[in-house]
Amino acid sequence: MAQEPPLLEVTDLAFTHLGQTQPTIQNVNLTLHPGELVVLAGATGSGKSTVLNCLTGIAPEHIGGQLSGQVYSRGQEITSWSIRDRSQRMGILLQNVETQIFTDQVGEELAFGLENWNLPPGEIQALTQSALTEFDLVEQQNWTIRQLSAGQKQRLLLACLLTRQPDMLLLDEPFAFLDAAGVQLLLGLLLKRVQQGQAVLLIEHRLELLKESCDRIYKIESGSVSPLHKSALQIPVQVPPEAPSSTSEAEKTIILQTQNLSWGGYPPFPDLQVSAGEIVLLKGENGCGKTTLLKLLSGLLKPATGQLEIQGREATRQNVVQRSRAIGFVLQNPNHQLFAESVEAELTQPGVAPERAQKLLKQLNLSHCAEKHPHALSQGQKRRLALGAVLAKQPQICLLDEIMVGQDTTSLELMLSTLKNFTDNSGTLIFTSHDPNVAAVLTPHVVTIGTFS
Amino acid sequence: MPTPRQVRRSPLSRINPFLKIGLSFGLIGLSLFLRHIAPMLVLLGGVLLLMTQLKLRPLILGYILLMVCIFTGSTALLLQNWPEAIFSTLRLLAIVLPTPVLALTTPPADLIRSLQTVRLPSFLTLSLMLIWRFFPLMQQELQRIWEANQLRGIDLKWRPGKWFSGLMVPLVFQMVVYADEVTVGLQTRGYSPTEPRSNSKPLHWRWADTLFCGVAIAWLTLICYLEWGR
Repeated sequence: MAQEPPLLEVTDLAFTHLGQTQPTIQNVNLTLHPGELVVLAGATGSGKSTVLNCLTGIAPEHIGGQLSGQVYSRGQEITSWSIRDRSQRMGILLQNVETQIFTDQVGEELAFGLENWNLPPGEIQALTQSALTEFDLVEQQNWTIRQLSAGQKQRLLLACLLTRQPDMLLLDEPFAFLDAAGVQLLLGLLLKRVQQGQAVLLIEHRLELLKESCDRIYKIESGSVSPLHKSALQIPVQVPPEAPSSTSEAEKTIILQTQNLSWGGYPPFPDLQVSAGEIVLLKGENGCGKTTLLKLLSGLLKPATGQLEIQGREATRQNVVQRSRAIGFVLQNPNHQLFAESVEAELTQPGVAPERAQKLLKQLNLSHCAEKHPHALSQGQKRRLALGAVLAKQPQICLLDEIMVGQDTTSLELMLSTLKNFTDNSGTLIFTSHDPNVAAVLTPHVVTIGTFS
Repeated sequence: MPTPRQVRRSPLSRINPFLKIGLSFGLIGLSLFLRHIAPMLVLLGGVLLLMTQLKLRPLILGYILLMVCIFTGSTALLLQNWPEAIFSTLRLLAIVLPTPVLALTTPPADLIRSLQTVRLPSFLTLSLMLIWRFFPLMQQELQRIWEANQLRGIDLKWRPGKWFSGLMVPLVFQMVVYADEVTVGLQTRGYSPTEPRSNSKPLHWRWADTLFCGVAIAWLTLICYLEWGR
């Protein structure tokens, strides 16, 4: 095996974005051998995605900029190859899976990719069926793509990529939206492929998931890549869990209460009774209805049955705008929630004191980019800003839908300490997250969704 | 786990895409030549009947109705002729509506397969592919941005002054990002307009196609008869 040329070899790679004078990444040297699972770790904005873009050909073809250095696959230089040509050897999973899905049905999506590679129709049918079984998607075979949760979409796309058995897989945060069972399923599948001789290079923040399974780790810092020993991994989030509040149960004010809420094809949601200052984690497997319940609470969806009380008042018939006075909701995709012309303006909305906005900017480490346009921020910064914009209005209840995804340790710490501040001041937090670190820090009351009571 | 939710395709989505494309061209072409109100009403009535196959939200229908009223009113003011203004509105709807009916009832995979069959120029196939994927994505984005505004306590329905900053800016940003990302996404999935592509589900002529074809011919014949035969 040692004699074989690496499946992927990168030498002295550097990339400078268009309009920049300093390279975003430089002196990048890495290898990927058959049967290896290698992790590329680094803080938000350190250049991980740029490295991946250079390896897949997205940079400079689509991003624009200056690339130097060489990329080899099985000893053959592929630096000038197109994305499609490289895809023959690499299964590429991007951060936003929605842009890699092109049909409207699960079964069709699997067939689409295989048709693109001109496989014989008989083989396509067989491969599609085997992928559906392997990725536990048989039940969803005839579902529309819109009916899938974010995690299910990611699993579907991985099934599409792996069906063709590429030499290697380059994955950008594949565990981001997966529940614990989904993580185990995917990790098991990846390790099986690795044992079969395929190689996997992945970007992932939740390193605790991979510490035992990965062969090597590269760390990227300020655009430079260096090997990292597994024992040097910084895994735990450093915000210490606080002692449980001394307030007795009787003293707590019930701020939100639900009864027999149901919607669509989901089993009836469990009844909630949430007090001021309480932290509730909605837990359940992908597609069980966590986001749907948050939407029902915020008013974005109307329940088919059941009742909702907010601050002791019947709120089932209130619309989303009326509920927004008490409830703030941070969505999965921050791009939908940023409207102002600068980071600072995003927080200084009508009714928000400038001091409060400044305090939140500082807490979320966004003061240095206060003048920037919100859409010029990195994804992690955008998520923090979207959280800040919601908290600035001082809602009594804050709903968070998987907003911790893709946050490096530092960024996550900032978010969690801001949220701790919010709940310490009697704010109520109801959130979804698959990251056990988050639950470990916030010590929430866990409500399981998706089971018939 | 939620109860399994099967795809419920409308009968129209199972019809051969070529038939629908042909019918759309036929209807648009005819609507340009019609001069009488009766055939125009028959044409538009049929299109509206087809539109019942689409699950349009009442809010969208409301906006379409509002736009139609504004167009009719302003045309009437310009022409100083209400019957002419109403006829122009009907003609506009007859030109505009068949395409979305076709687009929203043709699964993307079926469209690609039909384009493959007729060997359209590659640049055209790619463009149509991207457009087919792009518009549903943008529709989804528009809804999410709208909801995000509501979550901030801003109901854009009653705040047209906020449409630019609250709706257009994020939407344009998403459009620019998506346009590029979707092109990259297509390539990562192995799509190339110049490379050969197999077809795992070739289109076959079915009884439903024959029935649809017969009804469509009868409908077009009736329109022609009402216009020129009497």
